[in-house]
Parts: sequence; C-alpha cells; structure tokens
Amino acid sequence: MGEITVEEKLNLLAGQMYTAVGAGTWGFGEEGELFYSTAANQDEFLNFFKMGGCFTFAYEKEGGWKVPVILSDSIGLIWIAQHAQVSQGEYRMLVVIGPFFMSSTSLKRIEDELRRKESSVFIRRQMMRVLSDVPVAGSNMLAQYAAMLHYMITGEKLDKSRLVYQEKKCAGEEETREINQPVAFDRKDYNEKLLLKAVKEGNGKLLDSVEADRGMENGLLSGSGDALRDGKNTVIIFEALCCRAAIEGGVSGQIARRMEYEFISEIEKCATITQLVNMNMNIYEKWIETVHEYKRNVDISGTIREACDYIKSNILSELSAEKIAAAMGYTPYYFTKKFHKEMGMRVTDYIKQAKIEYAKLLLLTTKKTIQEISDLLNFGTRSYFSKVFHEQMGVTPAAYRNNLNREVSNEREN
Amino acid sequence: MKGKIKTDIDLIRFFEVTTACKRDVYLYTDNGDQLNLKSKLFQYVVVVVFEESDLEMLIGFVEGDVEI
Repeated sequence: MGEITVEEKLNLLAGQMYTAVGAGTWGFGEEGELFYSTAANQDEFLNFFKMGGCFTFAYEKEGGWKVPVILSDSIGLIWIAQHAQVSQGEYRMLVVIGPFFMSSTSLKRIEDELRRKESSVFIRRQMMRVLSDVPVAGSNMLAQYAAMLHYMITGEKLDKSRLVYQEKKCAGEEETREINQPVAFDRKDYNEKLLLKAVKEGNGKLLDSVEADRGMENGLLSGSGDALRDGKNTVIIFEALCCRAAIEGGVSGQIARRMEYEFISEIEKCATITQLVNMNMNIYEKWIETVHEYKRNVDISGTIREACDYIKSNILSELSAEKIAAAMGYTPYYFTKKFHKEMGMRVTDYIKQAKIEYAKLLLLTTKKTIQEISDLLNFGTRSYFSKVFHEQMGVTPAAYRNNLNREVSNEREN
Repeated sequence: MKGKIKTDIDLIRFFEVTTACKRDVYLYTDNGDQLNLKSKLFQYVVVVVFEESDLEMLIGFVEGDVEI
C-alpha cells in the first residue's frame, strides 16, 4: 500500500470534523481561491471569514503558517488555519477549520444585540438559523483540533506552546454591551490547584505535565451573553487568584495588587477572544516570574525588599537614595550601607537596573521611541539612556528592539 | 439619497466602501429594517439575508458623500 498523501489525510480530517463536530473544513489556493469546503452555509461563512479580517490575516503571513493559527472576528467566530504543501509539495494550500464559537453565549449575545437594535423577527430568525450551525468548542478543544490539523499536515505532534493566537485586531466596531444577567460563578475543577501552586512556588516547570490553558480551558465562568465579556470575567477572576497565590508566595501585597490592577487594565483592552487567550498566557507567566524573582532573594530583609518594591512601583518617578531612605524611615547613610550589604550593589545601580528592565518591556511591547522611553524613565538624555542600556545589555536599545522583533518573527515562522 | 441594491453585487467590496464612508450608510429592507452598515454585525446580517431570500433592499446615506 502506498504512502497516504497529505490530501488524503486532510480529506479524512474533513470527514471527521464534519461528522463528529459539525465543523467545516476549507481549502484555499495560493491566491485565496476556494478549492473545497465541507461547511454548512458555505457562502455565508466564506463571506464571514473574509469580512471579519481572518482571511487577510491568514494570508498576510510571509512564507505561510507552518503551525496552526487560531483566528477570531468581532462577533466571536473562531477559525483554525495552517498552510499545507500538497501535490507532492508543489503547491501550497491554506487549510481552514471553522467557524466555531468558543461559548454558547456568543450566539445568545448576537441575538440580544439584534433585538436591542430592533431588528425584525425575519432578520433575527434568518441570522440565528445560519449561526446555529456553528459548533461550540472551548479553547482546549480548539487546541486539540489545531493539533489534529497540524498532525495531518506535517505528521508531527504539536507542542501546544507553539500554537499561535491572532493578536491583531480584526476589522469590526467596538460595541458596548450591558451585562443583562448576573454572573454565574459555576467554578469547575480545572487544574486550578496546580496552576496556582506553580504561581505560589514561582515554578513554571510544575506545568510541564499539564495540558492546561491557564485558567480558560474548561469554558467560561460567567454567562453574560457575550463570549468576550465572559472570557474577560474568567481571566480577571483567575488573575485575582494568581494575585493571592503570588502574595502567599512572598510577593508584597502592594506590588501584587499593582500588578493585578495593570493586568486587568490590559485584559479589558482585548478586542477578540484570541487576543485574550494570548494576554492570559503572558500574564500568567509574569506571575510565575515575579514570584520566582522573590524566592531567589529570600535572604533579603523585609526593609530592603520593601525598598526594591518601592523602586519598582515608582520607576517612572524621579528616584534617589535619599528619597527612598526617607520613604523607608531611615537615614540615607544607614539605608545605603544596608542596601549595599544585602543586595551587593549600590541603590543607584539597582535603580538603573530596574529602569533598564522596565525599558526592555517598553521596547518589546510598545511603539514608543527611544527618546520617549528615555524621557519616561527620567534618564535626562537619550544618549545617557543608551549608554546605561548598553552597559547592562551589551547592545543599544534600538538593536535590542530589532533583535527581539526578529527572534519573535523567526519563532513564529518555525 | 437612496438606491436599490443589485443582486450580483460583490458584498466584500461593497462593505469595504461603506466602511470607508465618513458618515453612516443604512440599508433598508421591505420588512422595515434599517441596518447601519458601519456595524460589522449588520454586515453579517446582510450577507445572510442576501444568500437566503429575495428580499428587496434599498441603500441610503444619511448625507451621501461617496459613490458606489
């Protein structure tokens, strides 16, 4: 018997997805032309895929998607896509599975939205009839389908951490919605203990054996009628638990609450489910890193730990040893001696180090210019900022940003 | 200004244009619906209605400023 081709494997997968899940599988050519589809309501869903920005996103990737990407649009439709080499590697095809909803509340939210906008019964009925064919799959199931797709295309097992969630916001309006149902805290047993233990111990390795999706894997904890809102509620609740675990792990309450506040602000800014999933994973890792950092410094006294917290909390202010000593209730002389003895470095050097750490974050996560970052962190001049950065990192801020962007890009391609 | 929508219209291109309009663009159905085409949800609704029915639709601008 000859070797089974990628096309045959994909055909098998399409049959399984259709019969077992009710999800459509699509094949698109190099130019975006549709080769085949097993989806119900094919014309409508094809237009949704294109109009929601997912189609463009999938094709914008230079070299194609070598790992599955999870795409989502502004009404909560989700698609899984990956490129496949077909016809003995001569032709590249984009294989897409979907659409899905991540929660049954997505459909209800759309119906409520149409009712709120006083749409006729005819319109609501037509829309609901089409959308009721969309299967619901939680993030863990989506990851499994993505892994199946990847296996059929490459013959390799997908490491879940390589799964890409669409970051870029799709075209679509921002709509404010009122939560018209009380939030139901139907908490499920979802590896929560292990996830929180990893935070408390600052040990991410605990999660190696867990196929966990950082708090969202067993569905959403609230039922507002809006899947994105429910997702945000779920993640925010999880953040609160992580905050508590971090405090138990040794992080000062002040720092943990400030982190929690910042994270919740970031969570609220997410415009799609996939952005939210990305954000949730990043934030969870930051909690573990923070606790890990605290545990490393276990021999440091409460006062100096508090001083370090003070520096990090006020990193955007004018900081000096005198000011920090005063805030800690010590004379500058005693404080600076104590700091140096315990930390093995001068306060001013620690401040510089903390500023550079923050600058690294800004370089990676924002589009702020070097000058803006220098001003924000009170370095005085851009050249002084670059000098200090170079001393600590061995590269200039601009080179650091370029290198990281290149690394991220390469990692995604691989 | 109002005009009737052709049945063989390229909806994707159509929505690109209505999205680019400075002012709101509405689509009127003979069921009495008035759909703001700046809304992504209503754009999806139009796709469904286009595929599923012979509904007659009229398009209108609040203050027309583009040509389609």
